[in-house]
Amino acid sequence: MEQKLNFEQALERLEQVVRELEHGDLSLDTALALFQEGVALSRSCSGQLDAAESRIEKLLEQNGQPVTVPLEEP
Amino acid sequence: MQRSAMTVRELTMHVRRLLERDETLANVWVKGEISNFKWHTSGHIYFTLKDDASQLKCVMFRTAASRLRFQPEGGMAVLVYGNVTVFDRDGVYQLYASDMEPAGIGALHLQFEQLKARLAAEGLFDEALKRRLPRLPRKVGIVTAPTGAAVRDMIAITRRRYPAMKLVIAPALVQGEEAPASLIRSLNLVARLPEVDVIIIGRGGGSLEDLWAFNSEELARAIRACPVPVVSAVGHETDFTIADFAADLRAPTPSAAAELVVPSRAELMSQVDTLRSRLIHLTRRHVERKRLQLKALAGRPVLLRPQGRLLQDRQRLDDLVRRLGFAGGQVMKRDRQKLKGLAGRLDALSPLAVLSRGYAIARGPDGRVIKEAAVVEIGDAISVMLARGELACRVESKTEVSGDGTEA
Repeated sequence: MEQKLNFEQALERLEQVVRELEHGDLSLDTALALFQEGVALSRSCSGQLDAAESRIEKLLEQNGQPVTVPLEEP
Repeated sequence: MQRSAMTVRELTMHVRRLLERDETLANVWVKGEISNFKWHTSGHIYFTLKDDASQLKCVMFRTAASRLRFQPEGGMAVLVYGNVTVFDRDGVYQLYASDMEPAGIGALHLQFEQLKARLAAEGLFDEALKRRLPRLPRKVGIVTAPTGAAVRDMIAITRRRYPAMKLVIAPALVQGEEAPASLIRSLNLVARLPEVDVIIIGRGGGSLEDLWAFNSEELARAIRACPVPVVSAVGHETDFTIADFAADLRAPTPSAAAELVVPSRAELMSQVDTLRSRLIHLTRRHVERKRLQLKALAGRPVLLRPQGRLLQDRQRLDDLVRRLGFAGGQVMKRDRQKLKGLAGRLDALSPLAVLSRGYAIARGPDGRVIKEAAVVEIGDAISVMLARGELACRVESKTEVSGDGTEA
């Protein structure tokens, strides 16, 4: 596949792939190419939703630069 | 000289008409200090407005009084809006008030309206400038007081909707004179962090003065200049600030901002699942259609050695259809290559294409394709299918070939 898409791009492309499959009298070849792309896209989307790294940080300024530290829950 | 006396009533009516004809008195803002304040059981308010020199009797009826957003009381400096006319019974003029605001706020209010009009005229609030929020931000920046209900609520809502969402709290003063500069500083700083795709700026509810920092012109410009979309979330649903107009999206409260910015993971998952099912279903339909075409071809095998191959192809397709069914994700590159070949062959296998090259298909009395002489008897009626038309024939003689006829 192309470069890694962000969630939004992947979801939008997936919607487009499904629309193309819905319409159009596609050759088997094209349909399967779309299918394969769609499967990869849906995996990419699910994968991004599965990322489990939860983090709440607090912003600080150090010498004019933004830095973050873990937040103690308020 | 004849005396023509007016009745008291007539004179009062006359004065009333004079006052009511006056444009200034028809709608006027009056400022003064409240005294003799009485909230009658009827819901009407009676009070006197006074300054160093004069007094003015005022009445505010229940409907208008119930709309007041503050509690008037004796000694309070206020601006009162209404019209002046005569109360016939007492023969006194008074102000019939339809609106009232604390005098201090009145000035602020005026300032607010003027700034809003100026920035709007400049185009700072144009709809065309509003950016769409990302569907799934990598990280959300929150510019607000680091303690308090607002930030707690936003964290709680984020946890509920998308537990793994990354948040950065950018602490800022949210009220007082230092607040605008502090808000701007934190906003600019958090916007520079990598992965921050959207920023919420706001605070919980408070008095109009408490929220005043969000009416700063500089803050409005900083919001507009922010490289990522900004959602404002100031006070309660009824509070509007300049920041709200400048932001890409106004949320009525901080909690609502979290709801708008942080997507529901469950919803996104079901969206992706729905698309995936749809994808599999549609692809199956496409493949199934081709499979049926192939099946139709297999019933009328036309090449010298087509059937074995067709059956093989069909089996492969059947196999693929099955695999598509239970695991959409399982189709590998290899399968795709195979199918690519199949798709090409489907076209090549068109019976008409073969017949048009001069081949013919012979069928026995039972309709079966005849592939070896041994299966027919002399005298059998057989049919011969040509590219155009069909012949009814009778077998006159035959020569059997030794060996496996299907391999001939």
